[in-house]
Amino acid sequence: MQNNKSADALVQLIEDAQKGDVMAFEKIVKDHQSYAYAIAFRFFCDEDDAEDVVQESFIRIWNHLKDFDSRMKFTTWMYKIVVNLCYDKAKSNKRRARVFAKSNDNSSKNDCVENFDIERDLTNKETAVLIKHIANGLSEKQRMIFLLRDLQDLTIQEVVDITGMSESAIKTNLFYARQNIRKKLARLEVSV
Amino acid sequence: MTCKELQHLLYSARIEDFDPAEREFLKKHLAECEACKTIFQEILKADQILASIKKTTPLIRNEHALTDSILASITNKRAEKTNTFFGRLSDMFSIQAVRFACSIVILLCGMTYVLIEYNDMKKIVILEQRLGIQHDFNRASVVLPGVNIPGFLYDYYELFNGSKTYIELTNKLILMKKEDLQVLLNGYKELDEASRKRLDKMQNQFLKDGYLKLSSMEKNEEVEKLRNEIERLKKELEQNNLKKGRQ
Repeated sequence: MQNNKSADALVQLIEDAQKGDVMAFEKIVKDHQSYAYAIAFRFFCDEDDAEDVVQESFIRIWNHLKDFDSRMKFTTWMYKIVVNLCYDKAKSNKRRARVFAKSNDNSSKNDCVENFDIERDLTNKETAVLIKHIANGLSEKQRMIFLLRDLQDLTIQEVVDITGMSESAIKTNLFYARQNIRKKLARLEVSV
Repeated sequence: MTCKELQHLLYSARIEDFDPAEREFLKKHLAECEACKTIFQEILKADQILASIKKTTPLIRNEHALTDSILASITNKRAEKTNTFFGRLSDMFSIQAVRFACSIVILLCGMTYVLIEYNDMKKIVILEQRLGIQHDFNRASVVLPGVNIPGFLYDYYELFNGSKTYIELTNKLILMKKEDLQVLLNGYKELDEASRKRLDKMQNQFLKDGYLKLSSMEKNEEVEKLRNEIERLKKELEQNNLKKGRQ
């Protein structure tokens, strides 16, 4: 019942925002920016990059709000935009990294993946270090699929809708990512 | 299932996704196989770390600042957009009252146009009655009062089966079928005195109404020829009459 109410409220907010109501859009941003940020941060493991992607995503959402198909879940549509922008940003970061290769080389060398107390909530930095460590060696796609399915807890169908990949391709990538990540985590010395 | 297959499954699938049969097999197998048990415990530990990452929602450093910067970008872009002509126009039309006002204006323009056309049609009918012409759109139609609306003229071209002759006067437009003008000329030639007077009277009435000003028809060569022909016929007729009178 509560879910229905909030879904109706969201539909109303979207309709208002589609008519150009900035206040309604502000409410949408406030309600959803943390979800968008979670994906972007877990993908980049970098606060600046994640905030850039979130900002760009909501600007894109605003600009294309009229194209939003109300049959689709808003969060799925939003994640789709966030994921695409993550890929775009990763590409441009790679390009930039090639140019400033030397200055960025040592950025993660001092990060230590040991001695985390996983009983308490991790800080952004600790999460970033852990994800960077476990996702190292995975392709961008594998990393994104893993975080959407296993960290964001989305269904396979939602991952299909967001990434545009086939179910079998997602399952294959997911199996590989899980295997890789679990093997790394199993070797990790952390206080449990 | 062999140990290798089970280990592959343990590493690649979530334990909660195992079906009952797989769970049962796992339970039994782990009780007997030490190697798989060790791997299973490692996986449980890995999943605990993953659960910890999962439960930790990454925090935005300053949520308000991020929201504000998103909204600022949007309103800036909006302001940039409204600086352009089309931006301003689309912004204007996003207001319901403007859309309503525009609809009313379009409706009024349409009604005015229809009224003007209706008025013109009435004038045509009156003129045709004066000329004693049957109201037959395919044949008759001698003079049409024009207005400076191309659509209107085009409609009449269509209506009168593609009339070729049109004469632009100072501020009036007259449409006349070439054949009809010819009929009129031939008719004039054969008219008796009373009918000619009647036609002259009608032409004077046209002049008075400002519809037909033959003397001003200078732009169209064909009409100019016809006008000369009328004059020539008139003179010829007068000369004939004079000759008859002398005889």
